Amino acid sequence: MLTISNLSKTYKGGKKAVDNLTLEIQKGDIYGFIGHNGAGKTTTIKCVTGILEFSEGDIRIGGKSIKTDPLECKRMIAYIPDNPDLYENMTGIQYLNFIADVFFIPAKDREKSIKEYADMLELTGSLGDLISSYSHGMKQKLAIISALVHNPSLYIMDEPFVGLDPKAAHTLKELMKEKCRQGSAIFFSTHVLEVAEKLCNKIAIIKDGKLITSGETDTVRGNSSLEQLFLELIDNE
Amino acid sequence: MNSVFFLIKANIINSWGINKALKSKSGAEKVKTALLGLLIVYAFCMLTFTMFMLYYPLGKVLVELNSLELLIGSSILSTTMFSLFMSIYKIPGYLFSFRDFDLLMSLPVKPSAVLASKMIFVYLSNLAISVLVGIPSLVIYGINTHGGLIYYVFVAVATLFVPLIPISIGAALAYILGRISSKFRSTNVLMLIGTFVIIIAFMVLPNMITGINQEQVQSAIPAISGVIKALFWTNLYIKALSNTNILYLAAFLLVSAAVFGAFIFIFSRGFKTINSRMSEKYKASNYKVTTLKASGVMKALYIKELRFYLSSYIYVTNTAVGVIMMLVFSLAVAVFGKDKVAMMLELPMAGSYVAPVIALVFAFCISFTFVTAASISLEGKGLWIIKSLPLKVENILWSKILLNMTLTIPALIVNIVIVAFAFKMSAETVIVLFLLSLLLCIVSPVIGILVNLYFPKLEWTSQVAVVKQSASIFVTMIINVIIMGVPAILFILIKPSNTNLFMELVCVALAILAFVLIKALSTVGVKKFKEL
Repeated sequence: MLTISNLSKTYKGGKKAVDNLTLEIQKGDIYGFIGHNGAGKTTTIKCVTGILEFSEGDIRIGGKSIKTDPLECKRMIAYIPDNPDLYENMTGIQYLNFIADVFFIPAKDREKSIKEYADMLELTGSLGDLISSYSHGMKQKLAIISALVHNPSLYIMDEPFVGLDPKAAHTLKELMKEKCRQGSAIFFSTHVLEVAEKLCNKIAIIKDGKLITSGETDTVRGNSSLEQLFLELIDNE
Repeated sequence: MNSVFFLIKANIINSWGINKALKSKSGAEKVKTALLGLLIVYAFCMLTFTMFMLYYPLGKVLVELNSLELLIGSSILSTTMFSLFMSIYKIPGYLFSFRDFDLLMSLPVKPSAVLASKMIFVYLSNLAISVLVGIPSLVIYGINTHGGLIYYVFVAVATLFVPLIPISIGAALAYILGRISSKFRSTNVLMLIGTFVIIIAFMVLPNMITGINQEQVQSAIPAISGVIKALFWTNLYIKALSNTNILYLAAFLLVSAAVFGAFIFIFSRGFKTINSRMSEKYKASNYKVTTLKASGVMKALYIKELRFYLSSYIYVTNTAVGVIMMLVFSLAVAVFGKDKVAMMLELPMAGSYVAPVIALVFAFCISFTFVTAASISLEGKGLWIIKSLPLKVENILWSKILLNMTLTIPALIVNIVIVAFAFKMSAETVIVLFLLSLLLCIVSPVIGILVNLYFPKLEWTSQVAVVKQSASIFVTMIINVIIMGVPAILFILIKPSNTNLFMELVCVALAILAFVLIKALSTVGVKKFKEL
């Protein structure tokens, strides 16, 4: 579903944020992307979603390159950022309707899915209010609904649990599992190792832009906990 | 006092992009900053030169009329009017709904310190313009009276204090408006209407007064003297400079500082309350999903742009002024008649000059509708949304251009109809005038968005920093002035007998320019957007 091949991204000042990264995410995967602050997780995610351009390597989504077929790629993905800066001047429902318009979702279908997911995340009552009146968690919920509304094949999430209340976090985990059972793939970054350990079938650990290890969670982890493994790898490198 | 200093320092670093200019390692970035600096210096010099050229002959006339002191009067009156206008225009954006309100209120600083820092920042922003407007006539006075070093020292000191009173008055008006509108749900709409009423009043009233008194130059002198006497601080200023009298200078400085201080003292009490009220959002939390309407991508993008535009007080007040000016002009023509308007604006609107002069007025108004020049920057931290969605970059850029055209084209049609009837224009002239203005309605926003792509400012705490102070707005303004200036200068040099033909040739040039710019938008523009 998602193939990252030899991706390198250097910022204007010369800092290499991602260095020769290669990853493969298949249909049905919940792929955890782990690393310390500034390791290059968000940069990788932004390259995958087409927000940042990159000079070296390639990113293919459903067989298409984000460089040469950005629109086709973007139609297959949904992105949930770590800090949902949404259009504050719109109401929640106006924002969702805008996203649905961009993805050509028929009116009846969007009504059904918005209602379903907004009820699930307990946001329906607030959809008529301005986004600027929302709390961080509510904005996060809205970003999640906007991702779900067009039923993409690949979900890219940057720290999706930050700001969510325990119930919403649980709902999101269940939704993630459900979507992967239906054949979608999820690639998400997190600092919460317990979540990654329980939720992900595959993980990748990144340090200073370089991939340290990746693969099936159980294989990578071995007999130790993910936390122990992460600390060992980060310290030893 | 220390906290005020720190707040101003933070404000200046944050708003004027000093760090970017000093710490950027990129060669291209340094060249861009240096070029921009040169452009600002050039524009400043040109404007100063123009002001000198305006005041020099006036000085000669006033020497003959033995009223040279009026040069000092005109200096303070024009600076006061200008500062007042700029303050009414700018201050709501600085004092209300600023993005760092939560941060500043959580810090151990008094609201009065925050208000003082914002007001001093407005003062610093206004000072350069005050120098530009006020100094040339004072220098002409100095030349005519052979003023010595002391006179110029007095001028320098007094000039620093001139903007304080008009800024205080402008801020008081904005404050009252803010206080009233913060009590209503539609704060933004009320602030917009109130500001435009004040701006239109400032545009129309001085012109009406000039129109009444312009018949006899000499009869204007007592009227201006009357205004100066009524505004007592201007009288202190004139006496301080004309006699180089230290007591009058001290009195002027004291009065100016006292008014500014009094404003901060009085209004700091309600400053936090108003901003708190304005930052409160209306919440109903009773929404039920009913029927939703689907739209095409382009329409969805356009609606998004329109919603954002109408929700931003600062964006509207700073970009719709051109359209308002155009409407005021046309309505003035309809109400007062063409002759009186021509006299008020001192425009040569007679015979074959009518259409070119109107074309220039319309071009000025259209070019001043800078919606696109800030539109990319205003995406700010939300830029990820349109960048990660499956949208063609051309569609994103054109939705912004369409919003700009939504303001200018309907206004243009209304204004063309009014002037066509008022000036009894021929069908050919009306068509050429319309085509020329229409082409500018396309060229101007395309230039704006291209410039903004080259000079984006995505990190900002207040929209003011983008809409009023960004390099993009400044460069767009300069380019628009050049586009308007070239045909105007050619017209003056050639003095064409067939003005319609001249305007038709300008249309052809503009059509070629529009074609080139649209091509550039879909190539360079798209590339630049992807690099953001």
